[in-house]
This record gives sequence, structure tokens and C-alpha cells, in this order.
Amino acid sequence: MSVSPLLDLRHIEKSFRVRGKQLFAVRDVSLSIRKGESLGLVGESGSGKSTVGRCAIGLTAPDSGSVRLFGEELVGRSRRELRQMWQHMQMVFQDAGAALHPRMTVGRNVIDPLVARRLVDGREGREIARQLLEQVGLNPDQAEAYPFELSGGQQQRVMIARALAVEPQLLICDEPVSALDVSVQAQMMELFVKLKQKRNLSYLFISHNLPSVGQIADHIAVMYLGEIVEVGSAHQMFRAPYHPYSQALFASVLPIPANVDARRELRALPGEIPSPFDLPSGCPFHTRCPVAVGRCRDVRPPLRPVGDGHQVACHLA
Amino acid sequence: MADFVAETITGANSGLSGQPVLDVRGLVVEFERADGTIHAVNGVDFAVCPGEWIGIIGESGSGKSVTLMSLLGLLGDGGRVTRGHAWFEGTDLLQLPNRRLRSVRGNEIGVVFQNLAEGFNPYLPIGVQIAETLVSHRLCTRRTAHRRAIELMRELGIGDAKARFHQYPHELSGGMRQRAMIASAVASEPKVIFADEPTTALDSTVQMQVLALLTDICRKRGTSVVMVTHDLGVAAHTCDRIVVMYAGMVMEEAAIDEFLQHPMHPYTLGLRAASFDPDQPDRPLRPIPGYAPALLEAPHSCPFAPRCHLATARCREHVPALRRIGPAHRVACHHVQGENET
Repeated sequence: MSVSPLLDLRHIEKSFRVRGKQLFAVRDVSLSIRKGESLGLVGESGSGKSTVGRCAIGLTAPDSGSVRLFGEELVGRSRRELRQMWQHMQMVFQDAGAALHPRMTVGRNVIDPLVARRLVDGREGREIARQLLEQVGLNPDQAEAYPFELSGGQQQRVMIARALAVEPQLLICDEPVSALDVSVQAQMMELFVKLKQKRNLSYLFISHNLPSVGQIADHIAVMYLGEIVEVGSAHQMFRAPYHPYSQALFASVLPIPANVDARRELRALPGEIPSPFDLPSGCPFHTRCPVAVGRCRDVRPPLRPVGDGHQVACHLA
Repeated sequence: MADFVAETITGANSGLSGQPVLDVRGLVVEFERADGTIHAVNGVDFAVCPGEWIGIIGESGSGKSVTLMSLLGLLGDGGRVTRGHAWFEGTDLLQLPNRRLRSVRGNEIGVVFQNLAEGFNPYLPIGVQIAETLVSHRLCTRRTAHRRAIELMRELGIGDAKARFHQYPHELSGGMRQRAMIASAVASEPKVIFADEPTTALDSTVQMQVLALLTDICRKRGTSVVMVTHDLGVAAHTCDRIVVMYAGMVMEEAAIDEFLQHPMHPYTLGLRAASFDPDQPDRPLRPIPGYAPALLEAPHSCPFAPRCHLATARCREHVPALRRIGPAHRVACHHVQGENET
């Protein structure tokens, strides 16, 4: 039996021309999210994870590949058709302050997607906005405030309320907590988890912040230089990832040890991430990999299953 | 070829002793703002021994960064130290005129900031800035300084150091700039380095590189470090002693092993419960409810009481003193018994 996934990306390729040079942002990325499930997409700056998110929601057109929402192709759709599809899928960005309309009240911002679709009238809209604000942990009376009167965390909550207004099944979040203060981050993650449970909401949660991803994601995909190098359950990823890059990445989240003797060695990966203008041959990670062999330099390893729904792109895993 | 060899450290707590390099007593810092006086630091004491690595942890607004900045004379508009001493090499940093303090900062106390933009002059090549530290501090010729700066850059894993010497800060990646900043911080062989969230703005694996480097280079030179961080995992893996701050006060201070095994203050326990544990990724985090106080008045009760599940009438009426509860452990909580009270 196979249930068609909520969101399904197949062989997405995307490059940009920057100052006359080709920047390879996303290379042959496939991923899918089933209803009620959440996928964390992690990687460092320039790994291409945000571009994948923008392709997934239709804000960026991939050079090739397909994006299906409930089996329906998204690539090549008009803006109007996309807007229809966005009833099922909404996006939350890092910079909420910039995404909210500064001269609309908070309440009007929240119901804007409904007003744009002519789904509500004024009185009804006001009531819906208050309910949504309450659901995201704000005081409903803040509906009358203007965005600049709120803190960064509160603005991000308003963004989430707005995304929820159309009752989507999937939220694509791109670094939604990275701009926030650490203690506010924790409170925001609590909200995301609550919404996941209460509304059976799915997430494509894009972040370089592994702790936040760990709290929300059932599965985690790791990107490096535009490619997915590993996908697996969040538990497996944090406990024992297979890919040498994932190993270094997850080892950088230091636990609080029980005592001094339980402290880990600080192991650092050598070198820097190569330029996306000039990709290495073979495995993208071979230039920094502690276990690379000759084959890694010449042959790009495909993403292949290693059991339990786990996939790794490494010749040696 | 990889230009950086993987570094390892172990957490052995080297037998620390001797006169403190830096001894901060009763530090009080206030900010004049349009809406009143902010009481950012309210009587902080701590001492740093030679070679010791101290971690100051706490949420934002706890006064941890302000504490460091005040010792460096970098409080900015409206900020001033109203009381306290900071003994460093026999002089009180807080009594020094600005010009003299400027020479201490960067020369005798190295600094590594989170915000990379603050650390370097954008209009000067990175190598020149590292060399300048050497020239201005020591009687060292420009040519020697040049050579020494390149050596330091190499030691910090900056590949192709000769070419990078002439590059401007914006031409380097965040990780490379942070390495250059460490090179500049250690160039004058300071006794202490102040590191304010030294890895926070960096990508995870780069954080690890920078942390391993900073640890290694300071251990090798016997440099003391005062590191401000919100990341308990980072503090736990690098520090010899932890100072927990809240509302501009020290709530708890303990040697690292004691801190890990017997944390006492409800605020410390709250910070731990709110921290992510990679061994249990789906354990729900329990953020501490409520917010840090605005500090429009100096604390006249336990500042943590409004958010504390143990709070009683006494907590709402009296400021708890920071009392010794063991040889390497001090706690400011009415609910924790002092050494002579049990």
C-alpha cells in the first residue's frame, strides 16, 4: 500500500547566475513528507536548504524536477493557481518584522490571507483573528496593536497565526527562530510542537539550529553543497548518523555531561566548505572527509537505502 | 590538503591555584535610559585564576555581557559603573582613565566578540590589524610583527596565511574572521581573554572548529578565559568554573564538576531543563516560564522569585546573599542551606 505523500519533491535542480558565474544551489534533491509527519532540513549557510524550501512552496522555480502537493504538480503553475494551493501550505520566514504589513493592525495582518481570498467579512474576521492570536499564545487584545509595538518573538507568533488562518496542513518554516533570543526560541519551539500535536500539522522545518529541529522533526535530511547526503529518523541522526559530514554536524551539539569525566572531546572538522561556484568532483564532501578514499574523489555517491527508511550518500557507509 | 588539524581536548581540571589574575568585587553597572535607570549589574563578584577558564551563563538581559563590557570600558551610551573594583595586575580597571583602559583592552586583556563586525576595522587588511597589536604593545619592528602575524594566522588554521594577510575582513568567511580575531586576541600574549559568545553567530561545525582552537591555544599559553555564553553544553565542555547570572546578580557559582553533579539554584536547574539534550532529541524542553525582569529598580527581593516554583514570602521580601555551601560552590537562594547552617 502506498499513500500519496503530502509534499513530494523529485530531482530538484536549481542554479543561479551570480556575476556571470554559475552557482549550483540545489543538486538532484528529492524528499517527501507524509501527512502529519515533519521533516527537518539541516545544513550550514550556503548548503541550499532555503532554496529547497522556496522551490517547495513555489516562490522559486526549479531548473528541473517536480514538486507535488497531494499529487498535484506545482512547477509551472501561474501565481493564481499557486495561491489556491497555498491554502494547504504556508511559509514562515525568519524575519517576521519585514513580512508583516507595518500599517495594518496585527489582527488585520493575521486575517489578510482570508481577506485576500474574500473568505471573511470584517466582523467575522476580527473574531477569527482573536482566536488565532490566542492559539499562538498572544493576548487577543493585541489584535488592535501595530506590528512595531510587538517584540520579535511576538511578531513571529503573529506570522504563525497568519499562516494558520487558511488552515494549512503543511508549514514550511525557514529559520523561524534563528533571529530570536534563546529563551524566546524555546518558547517558540514549544508553540510549534503544540500546533503539530493539536492540529496534526506537518512541517518542513529548515534550520541550521539542530536543537530546534530535534524537537519538531520526525525525520531529518542533511544537506551539504546543494545535495542531500543523508536522511533518517531524528533519533538515529542524533544518536548515530552514518555520513561522516552528519557525524561532524551532530557532534557539534554538545550535551550537558553528568560529570567532568563524561565530557566529550571537541572534535572539529578540518577546512572550510568549498565554493558552490566550483564544486569538487566525486563526493562533495571528499575534500574534508576524514575517511575518504580514491573512489570518493572520482565518483559521486548516490543516496541509497541502508535500512529502516534511512538513506545515505556515502561510498563507505 | 586540509590546513587545519583536528584538535582534541580533555576535560581534566588542571590544579588551579595562585593569586587571581582578575578579581572583580561588588560590581554595579547602571544605564540611564529615557524611561529610567536600568540596574543591569547589581553587585557581582568573581575571580579568575591563572590558566582558568570561567563560563558566565544566563539568559539575555542577565547582565553577563554588560559585566565584561564594563571591565573593558565599553559600556556605550548612558552606561556607567557606579560601584565596585576590578583588580587586574595590581590596578583597579574601574579607576583607570579611558585612554589607559584602551591600552589594557586588546593588549593585556584579549577580546573575542560574537559580533564579528565589532572586532575589526573594515578598512584595514586583517593581517595588518593582527600585526598592529604586536607593534603597539611590544617593542617589535613592523617587519617582525608581519612575520609573527603570519605565524599566528597559521597556528589558527588560516590556510594560505601570506595571501590572507592582505585581505580585508569582509573577504573572509565568518569562521576565518573569528580565527583572525582569536589570532589578534592572543597576539600580545594577554593573561586573560574575554570571549563574549565567541561561537554563537557561526555554523555548527565552524563553532566546533573555533571552540577547539580557542581551547587549545589558551591551554597551550596558560591564558585565562572569561567566556560569556548561553550554551550550557559549550560551557560545560570548556570551563573550569561556572558563574550563573540573573538580573545582574550571581545566582550560583561552582567548580565545573560540582556544577554538573550538584546544581542547586532553581534558576540553574531551570536553565538545564530548558537545554536541549542531543541524547534525547524528543524530550520536551521546559522553557522557564515568564521573562527576565526589566530591572528598572535594583533588586529588593530575590529577582527570580516571580518565575520560581519554590518561591515563598521570604523570597519576595529579601534579597538572598550569595553564600558558600561547599569548598567550590556558592549559591544565592533562601531555600539552599549555607555551609554553617545545616
